[in-house]
Formats: sequence, C-alpha cells, structure tokens
Amino acid sequence: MPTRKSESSPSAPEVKQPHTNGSKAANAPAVKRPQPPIGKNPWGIPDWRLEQPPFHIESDWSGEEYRYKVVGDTNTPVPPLRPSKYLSKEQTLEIYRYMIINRQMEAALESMYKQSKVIGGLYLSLGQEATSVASAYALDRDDWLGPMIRNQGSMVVRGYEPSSAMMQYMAKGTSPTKGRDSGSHYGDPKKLNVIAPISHLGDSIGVLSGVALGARLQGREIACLAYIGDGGQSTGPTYEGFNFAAVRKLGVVLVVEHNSWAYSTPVELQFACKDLADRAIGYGVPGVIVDGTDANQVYDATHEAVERAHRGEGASIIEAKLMRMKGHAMHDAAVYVPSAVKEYWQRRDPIVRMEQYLKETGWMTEAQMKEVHAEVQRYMDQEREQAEAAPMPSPEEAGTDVYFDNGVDIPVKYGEVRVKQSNVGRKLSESSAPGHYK
Amino acid sequence: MPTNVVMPQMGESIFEGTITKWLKKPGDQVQRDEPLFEISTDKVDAEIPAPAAGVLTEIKIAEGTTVEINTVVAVIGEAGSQPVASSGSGSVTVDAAKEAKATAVATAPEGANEPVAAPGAQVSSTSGKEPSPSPADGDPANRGPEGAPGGASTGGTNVVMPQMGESIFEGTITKWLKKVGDTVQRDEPLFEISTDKVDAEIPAPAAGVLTEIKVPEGTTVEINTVVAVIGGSKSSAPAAAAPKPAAAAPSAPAPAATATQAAPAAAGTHDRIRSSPLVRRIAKDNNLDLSRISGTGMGGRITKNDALAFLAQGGAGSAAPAQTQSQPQAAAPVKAAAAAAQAPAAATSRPSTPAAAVAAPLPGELVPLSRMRGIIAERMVESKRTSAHVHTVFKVDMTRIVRLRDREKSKYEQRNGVKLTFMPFIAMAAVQCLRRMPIINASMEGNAIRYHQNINIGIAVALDWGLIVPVVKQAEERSFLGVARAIADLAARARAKKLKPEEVSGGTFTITNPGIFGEQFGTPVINQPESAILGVGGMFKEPTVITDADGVDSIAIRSIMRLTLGFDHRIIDGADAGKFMADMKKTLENWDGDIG
Amino acid sequence: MAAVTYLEAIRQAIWEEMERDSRVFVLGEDVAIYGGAFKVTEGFIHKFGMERVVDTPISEMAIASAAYGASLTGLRPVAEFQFMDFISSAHSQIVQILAKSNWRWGAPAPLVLRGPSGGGVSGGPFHSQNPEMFYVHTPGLKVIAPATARDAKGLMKSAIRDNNPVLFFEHKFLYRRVKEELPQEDYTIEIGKARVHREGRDLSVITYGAMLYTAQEAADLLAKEDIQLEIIDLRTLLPLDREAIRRTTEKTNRVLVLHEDTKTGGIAGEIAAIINEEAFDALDAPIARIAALDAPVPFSPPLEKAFLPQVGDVVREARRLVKY
Repeated sequence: MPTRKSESSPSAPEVKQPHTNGSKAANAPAVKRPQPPIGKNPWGIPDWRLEQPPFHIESDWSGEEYRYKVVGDTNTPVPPLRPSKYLSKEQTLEIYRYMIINRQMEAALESMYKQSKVIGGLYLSLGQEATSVASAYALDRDDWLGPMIRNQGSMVVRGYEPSSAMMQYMAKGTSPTKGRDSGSHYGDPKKLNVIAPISHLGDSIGVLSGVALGARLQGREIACLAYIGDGGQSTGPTYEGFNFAAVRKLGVVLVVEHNSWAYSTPVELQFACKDLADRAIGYGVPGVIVDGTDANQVYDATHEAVERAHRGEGASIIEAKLMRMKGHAMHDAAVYVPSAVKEYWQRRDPIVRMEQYLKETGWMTEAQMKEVHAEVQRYMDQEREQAEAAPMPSPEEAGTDVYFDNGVDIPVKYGEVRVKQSNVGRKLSESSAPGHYK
Repeated sequence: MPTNVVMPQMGESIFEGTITKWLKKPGDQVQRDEPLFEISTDKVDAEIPAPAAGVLTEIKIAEGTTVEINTVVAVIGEAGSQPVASSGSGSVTVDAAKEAKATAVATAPEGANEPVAAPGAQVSSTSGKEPSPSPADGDPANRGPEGAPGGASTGGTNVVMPQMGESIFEGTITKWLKKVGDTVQRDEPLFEISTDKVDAEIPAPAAGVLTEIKVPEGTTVEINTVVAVIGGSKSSAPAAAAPKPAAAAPSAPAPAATATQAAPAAAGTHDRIRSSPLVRRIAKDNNLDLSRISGTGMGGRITKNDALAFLAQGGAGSAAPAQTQSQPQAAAPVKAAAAAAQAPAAATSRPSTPAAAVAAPLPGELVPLSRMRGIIAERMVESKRTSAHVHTVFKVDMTRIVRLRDREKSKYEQRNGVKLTFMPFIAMAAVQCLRRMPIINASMEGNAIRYHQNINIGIAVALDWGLIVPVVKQAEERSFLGVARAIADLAARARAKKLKPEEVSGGTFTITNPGIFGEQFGTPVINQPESAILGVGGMFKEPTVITDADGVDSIAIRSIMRLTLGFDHRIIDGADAGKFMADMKKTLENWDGDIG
Repeated sequence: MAAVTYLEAIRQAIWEEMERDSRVFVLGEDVAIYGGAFKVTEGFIHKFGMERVVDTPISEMAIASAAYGASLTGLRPVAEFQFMDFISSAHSQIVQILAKSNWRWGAPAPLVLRGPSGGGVSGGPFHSQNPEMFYVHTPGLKVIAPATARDAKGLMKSAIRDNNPVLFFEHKFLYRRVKEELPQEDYTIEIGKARVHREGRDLSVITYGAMLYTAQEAADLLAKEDIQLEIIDLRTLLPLDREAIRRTTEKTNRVLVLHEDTKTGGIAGEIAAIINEEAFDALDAPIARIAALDAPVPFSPPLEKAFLPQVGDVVREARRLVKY
C-alpha cells in the first residue's frame, strides 16, 4: 500500500480515485500483538475502550450564575492505543499521514479564516481526526461515505485533495460545488461515492440506506458509512433513515461521533441513555463502543461492520467517544467547556497517541515522524496556493444546473438489476378493490 | 506588493473586533501564519496569523482599539520594506481610540500626526473599512470619501435637484455658487436652478465641505438626481475632507428622460377613461382616440368589443385625422347606422349587456342593444364627455310666423309639393344667424378651431327604432323652398331607410325638434364634432306682455316657442351663444324672408 | 377497446415502465403484497419480484431518502406516499436534498414521488390536501397534477423517464370516476406543457386536477348563454407552461384561474403574475381567482362543499368577467 505523496500535481483539478484499502486490498499480516480484553456496558454492548472517562458534566449554580461543572476525576493516565487486529504497518502509517493531513489542512483553513480568505463559517475537527480518517479508511472503493461537517479527514481518505475543502471554504468557482454550497457540503456520486452533506442533521442516513438498496438491486452488497453526532442523533431522520436500513438489512454503518458537545449542549442534556450504542438494541443491529481518539479501535470496529455489510448481514452502529477540541465554529471559543475537561482530552490527542504507538511498535522514529509532518506541510502549502489562486465563480453560474439534462443517460453504478423470483409473462389485470374512499 | 492585514470576521453576526495586543512591531519580519496580533470580539478571543510573509511596515490600529471587521489594521511589506514613520498607530492614544469605538472612521491624510482629542475623530490614517481586502487596493491615497470606513454612507450629504412643483420633473443647473473644496453652511445658497415653472437659488442641505459637483452648469437633470456631495462632519477638518482631484471633474449628468417625463401628462387623459390594457393596445395600434369611444362595460368602461366596433365603423385609424380635416365627421349615430346598414354585423355575437347592473339582475326581459341603439348610446356618452355642455333658453314669439304659415300653407303645398312646416323657418333663421356668428358653426380640432366654410344643418329625425340626423348640405346656398324640400326629402327617406352614407355625415350644426311632442324645452346633446345644437321646444299660446311703439304695455295671447341652444363652452362663450340666440329670436319674430 | 380509469392508467404506466426498464422499481407503505392503499401496485410484486416492489416502514422521510439514495446508483425509483398529505413528513428531504442535488453537487436524482391528493371525498384535513405549491416553490423539482386518464398515463411515463425528481400529484377523487380510451401504443406526454381542454372565445379558465371537471360543467352551462369558455388544463405545475398561458390570454383576453388548492399562495397568483409579465396588454378584464377557502380541508360534507370551489362559483365569476 503506497503512501500517497505530495508530488501529485497540484494543478490537477480532478479528484483522485479513492484508494483501495482495508482488508480486501491488504495482504500484509495483521499485527500480532496481544489484545486486551473487550468489556461490555451494562446492556451488553461491547466497549473496546481501554479507559472510560471517570467524570461527567452537570449544570451548576455557582452562586451567581449557571455553568457546567465537572464531577469526577479528570487526571487519569492516558492509556496506549489498542493494537489493531487488522491494520498492517503500511496501513497504519497511511492512516497516520491522513490524520496529519486532516489537522494541517484545518490549521491552514483556520489561518485563512482569520485572514478573511474563508467565506462564512469554519467548522473544525481538532481531536476528531482518528475517527474521521480510520473509519473512512475501512471502506472499499465501491462503498459510500456520508460525511458530516467535521469529517474533512474522511473526505481526504476518499480521495479529495485538501484544496477541494479549501476552495469550498473560499467559495471558489473551481470548488467541487462551483461555489454554490459552502464548506464541507460537497460530494461526488460518480467516482468517490461521497454524499454531499446538508445542514439538516441525519438526512444523509436514509439516503445511504437507499444507496445500499440500489446497490442490492444491482446484485451488490455495499457498505455505506454514515456519521452522526451526539447532537444530530436526536433528529427524527436519523431514526427513520437508520431504521429503514436495519429493517432491510442494508449495509449502513452508522458512526456516532460522540464528541461530547452539540454546539454548547453537553451530552447530558442531549439524551438520557448512557451510551448511544445502546440504541443498536432498539434497531436490532450490532452496536459497539470505541475510543474515538484511538485510530486502531475505530478502524477495527468499522472494518468489522463494513465486512458485515459486504456479507449482506445488515447495518451496524459504532459509537466513538471523543471530544471536539474547538468551538462549534470559529466564532465559538467553547468557554462553556470546563477547562479540566479540555485538558483531559488534550492529553488524548489522537495524533500524539498514534505517534506514541508508532514509537512503541518501532514502526517509526521521531525523525521520520517529523519528516512526515514536513512533507505534509509542503503538500499543504501547494494545495493552499492552488486554492487561493483559484478563480471565484462567474455570476451566471448561480442559476444553471438546477435541472439535469434529460438527454443524458444516467448509468447504473453496479450493473443490471436482478431479482430472484419473478413472473415475466404476467399481464396487468385490473385492480381489485376501490381504495379508501368512495 | 504590500499586503493589508484586516480585522477578521470571527462569526456571522460579528461586526467589530478589538485589538488587544500586537505581537510584532513595525519593522519586524513576519512569516505567513505567524501570530501577528490578538483580538477580542463579542464571541471569541483569537490570535490572528499574518496573511503573508514580509516586513510589518505599518500598524494602523493601536492596541485597545475597536474597529469594524475588514478594517485594515496593518500593512505587511515585501522583505526589505521600511516601516512607515508617520503611522497613525503611534499617535493615537488609547483613550481617544476607545472613544472612537463604533464611530464612523473618517479619512485622514497621511501623516496626520496630532493626537486626536475629539470623539468621532479619525482613528486610522487611511480608510478603516475596506470592502475588498485584495492587495491591489492597498494604496490609501487612491481612496476618496466613498472609500471611507464605515463612514462611506455617513461621510457625505447628497445634494439633489429639488422638485419645485408637482408637475416638475427636471431642472437645469444654471449656476454653481460654490466650488469644490469650499466650506458651506447649512442653508447657504449653493446653486441656482431653472425649471419650467420657477428659477430658484438652492440652499445647502448641510454644513460641510463641498466635496464633489456631479452636474455642471447648464445641465438639465431629473429631480432627485444627486448633483453634489457635501462631505465630512460638522467639525469639517478641511484637510481631512480634501477632495481627490478626480472629484472636481463632474461626472456625466444623467440624461433627462424626456420621454418618460412626458408620459404622465399624456397618460392623464387616459386615466379618466376606463378601459383595459387590451383596449389601450388596440387604441395605440390603430391610432384610436379612446375619448371618442363610449364604453359599454361596467361603469362605462371601454371594452375590447367597444373598441373593435368603433374600428369596424371606420371610427378611427390613421386616416381619421385627415378625414376630419377635409370633411368634418358626420353625426355619429347616423354614420354608425349607415355603416351598420351597409356592412353585415362584424364584431360579436354575444349579447351586449347594459352598463351598470352589477348586482343580481332584476326580473325582466333582456333585449340586446340594436346596432343603432348601441351607437347612439356610445355617441351620446362620448359627446357628454367631450364637450363642456352649456344650455341657454330663449323664448321666441312665433305669432308672426304662425300667422304667415296659416295663411300660406295650403297654397304653398299646392304650389311646391311640400308641406310648409316650422322647421324651414327655424333652419333658415339659423343659417342667417350662423353666417353672422361663425363660431357657432365651428368645430374644435385638437388645439385649433375650424370655422366651417359651409353651413350644413343636421336635422334630427325620430324613428320608431331610434334616431338619425340627415344633413342639409350647404344650406347657406339654398332658398327657403330648397331647405324645406331638403328637410322633407331627408326625413322621408330616413324613415324609409333610404339615406346614403354621405347624407348622414358632415354636419356643422344640428337642429332637433322634440317640441312636436309638447315639451317646453330640452337640453339637447351636441352632435360631435359640432359645437352647438338647437333644440326646438313646443309651441304654446301664452299670455304675453306686448309693448307697442308708444311704449304702452298690454297683455296679448301669443304663440310662444322656447329655443334651447346647447353649446360647447370649450370654444363658445356664453356671450356668443346669447348673441346668436338673440339674433335667432329677432330673425324669427320679425320674419320677412321669402318662403318661395 | 374499453375505457380505462385514471387509476388504471397510472397502474399501466408504472407497470409498462417496469417492463420496459429494469432500473424502475417501486417502494412505499403497503405497496407489495397488499398492492397499495388504492391498489395502484396490486399484482406488481408477483410480476416483478420483491426486490422491485419494496414495502417500507411507515416513514415518508425514509421513503423519500431511500428513493433518492437508490437514484444515486442509477436506478429510477417510483415511491408511493399513501396520501400526499404525508409528504410534509418528508419535506426536509425533498426540498433540501433532492431538489438541490444536481445544482449543488452534480448528482442527478431521477425519481418519482407519487400519491393521491385532493379533496371531495370527506377525507378530512389530513387525507384531502393539495400540498403541491410547497414544491412548486422549490427549484429543482418538477410537479405534475394530471386531470385525465390519458394525461395521467403519458405524464407518469415521462416522469419515470425524466432525469430529475418529479412529484406526481394524483387526484383521488378522479381515481375511479373518470375513464377514457387510451392509445394502444406506448406514448408519453411532455412535462411542462399545458393542454387546451376546450376551445372557447370569451373567457379562459386555467385549471388543473379535479377542477377541470368543475370548469367543464360551468362551460356547458354558460354555453347556453352564448358565453364560450376556453379551458386550459395545466397538467404540469412546475415548470409552468408560460406560453400556453400567454396564448390563451391573447385569445380570449379574460382569464379566470381555478384551483382546488387554497387561494393564498396558490398557483393562481403565479399565473396572474405570468400574465402580467407576458400578456398584460392582452387583458380586457382583471384576472379572477377561484380557489378553496384559506382554511384546512374540512371533513363534514357541507363544510367541504363550502370549502371547495363549485360549478356555481365559476358560472357567476365567468358572467361577471364577460360583462366587465
């Protein structure tokens, strides 16, 4: 599995084919290391974490005003990563590099935002890189991704260059949506199989159910990876869309990014169950809890769910517990988050943890890691220059493409529609009963 | 190329930010994305990275100062650049700057170095707000008052061409009393204008420096056009408001849109006529004067069918004016009837409906208007709408003519084959009097009065199915007998529907005689485009005071008839009408003409 | 050949399209073995198999989402909403994702969302609505509302073959009430084209859906007074046939727009605006609107009758306009 380098032509407007990775392409042996035991939560949902944060948040009247208060211990030691059952060294290094791309891309975006180059809001995923990158890395090329606003890292794994996100955020005419939609709202139905997210939370989940249904009609069982946040999962469409997948045993893998804060609302005010993975029981699908700052856990759980989808066994839920280290958007300093909580998660930076893991496994030296950072920085500079130089859209593009040309044939993605039983010769006979009303 | 550093927008509803700390000082080298300064906004505090690598040449906004987003706060020059010595940053005290918060930032010249004490004074030395942060806009000297920060809208007062009367839509600037750069007081005369109605000296709407004259002397512009800008604040620091050189060159004045300005006046006439968009289009396409059509729609609205019917009668079209000039329009109902008689009904087969009656119809038979009825209705309404109708009634002692007629009528009929009626007397009297009073025998044509060469007397003839007005042409050349014969002939042929089109057109004066039914007098409607109509009342024996030659009064029974003149006051004044009618009275009472 | 009902015409269209094109499939509540609440898909599962006739949970959101997702893989789903009233439960999906899909990210969505709409059957406020205008106001969608069996079949075929999301508002009152002989051959009717249902001279009635028959009855009555109505059946509400609207306005110079949807925000306002833009100086009278009351659809028959436009309303208004 070659690590992608930054020598990719920065002027090439076309997005790359997604890599073919995950278990099917990986012939390297899995890491042979002893696996710590996997625990279960009180409802029997497997919990792969090596630690459970021993604190929670409460609303507290502190004499003059309300604020959030931490109850419990935030000073517990940081555990190592759980060794992956499936990832080879090369794959691990590739995930590592994608995580750095994810972070540097957002650092660049933050600078560009503060330099007034970014139009509109900017939503960052600092601290969430492991979940975005490692989950998307578990998909095959024919699988689909339904990202959320903070899954820029997943988009890069699918094959988008960082300049795509930058041009999106700068509203450039050469951005994937040609400047029509903002920020992370881009996608590609043809090659990269990424649903362009919308601002309405959960709406993509039912869409991915339909994608899986469409593929099944064409004889293919695919995995469709959808993300939802701890806040977004409160919406009806999340339930409606995922229930459809569960009922029809469609390969939707729902990664619930439990990043602890929905804008300013802590999870304690978002749902009453302890773990969102518990909801898998109600849906009738497998659920699992992972540490969202541990790329290995995220990958392994997603990989298993994807494999299950490919076998046609249906949907899964993965709850990744992590922390959004920035505010909701750039205007939000997230002062509502108690500093002890921030510090707890700062010590669990997914890239730092991964680097520790790479050192422990002996797969990389510090110097090599520094070189990866430097190489990504050079790549990012190229991407940034390309994005900044890109033209703004021409005004006449505002109202075009509202409809798709009827003269163009839309091909099927996976092949001819097949059915098991049918009665080809049957003729239409008049319908029997009148309907509801006279 | 220097790069401007601007106050970023840290959230959608954030419009200003405070610089809390500069992390670099002028002359320092900075790398791209290296932290340059710290800001604080309503929502967030942040460290702002440099947008480009180079030398920080200028800090424009001091620590502690709050400025609008996109305000240029510093400039990064290329490597090797020198810091700008006269930067405003060094001279602005924090206190003054705090006072300047949320105040429109005025322009100041480069090097305005004095500490500023007054609130509202400038904070930065160049425009604080820059809509486009592109480096090309970096040179503050290129920016005029419009580019002023936040103050773009508040920094100047527009001076507009005033509306000096309701129907005035434009004015000409005849003289500027101030020149660009002059300081003016509010209400101080600024320029002189000339309009259709008035010439006036226009006072300045605000105090300040005249920063721009947009419309030069001698130019006519629409009202409300901005003709000048008075810039700056009341304190009017002249240097601060120094106009850019380009401002002195007046921009091209907006061309006065004369066509649209003319429109309201013209449209005014149509507004009073109820029609529809379609009818107005038909009128335009066919050069129709809608005022000549009477509507059959609700409230007298002219409908499509009204317009088409009018056209079908040849009622207009481009030929109409010429026709009117050469040969005056016929009495309309007559002409219409004739047209109807000759051409098959063209327009519509759906039942026409009477005007009014919007509510639930009352029970009763609904009979469609006949062609003639429709035309009469249309013509009468049209006439009422067209002419300023005035009526004057004179009592005429017809005893002398009654006696003459009683004496002569049987012999006359034997001799001439035509009955001796009162009509030829009245007609002949009218011809004589019209000759002496040509304004009564005239028509209004646009803005002119046509005095007809001939006297063509229309005689209204009542029919069982309506009314028609045949015309005795060139009556002034006819004898009494000739007129009598013509009237009898036309009336007979009217009743037999034997009139020719030309016999019902071209009248210049009409006589109508409803008196045969016993009326005292009526108020007849003028037959357009004529200007007067004579209504003949009934003949009654009435006790009348007679004054003899000696001045002795006595009461006698006399044959009295009332004549009414309906006249168009647009061209006929009451005095003329009175003179004409007095003449008529005298002529008839002292009849001495030959009756042949 | 026997006359075919409006409902059977729709069944035939979907059936024939599924025979013709394996990419077409149906999904919705109770559409499979039961054959749909109004039996539009009865028997389909036996012919086409359970993969192509998909029962769904009761979630219009999921139905719309799944149809869209399947369309992204190149299929051409025909999704049934048991009643079009429930389209509101999928509103977000339709207006946010489907309608903007091609414009936003170049993802065409060839699908049909269909179902029964309209009143006159005492269905009450949640089974009688005409929700079409919410979607006519949404660029990116196409909105169809046929009035005749022939149009229903031809337009359904066009909708299925269209490369864009099409909302197909059937009228449940017409399902088994109107019938006509249909062409033997495969035919389509172009989306976006209105039809002159009846030629007339004095006044144009522009309408769609079940109100076509109200207009027709009124036209028959008025013909006795020598008032000749021209009736335009819009058939497609988005895109509107501006040309047909202009043409009939130029012809009769008087226009009455009639629809079963409520008045405020109904298509009549849009049509009046189009006439203003395209044929203002062809008008010989103001444009009149007859529509349902600005109220929810009532249940009880006398209330519903008062709510819906009636023949008498059309006759009265037509007389007034012709006199105007």
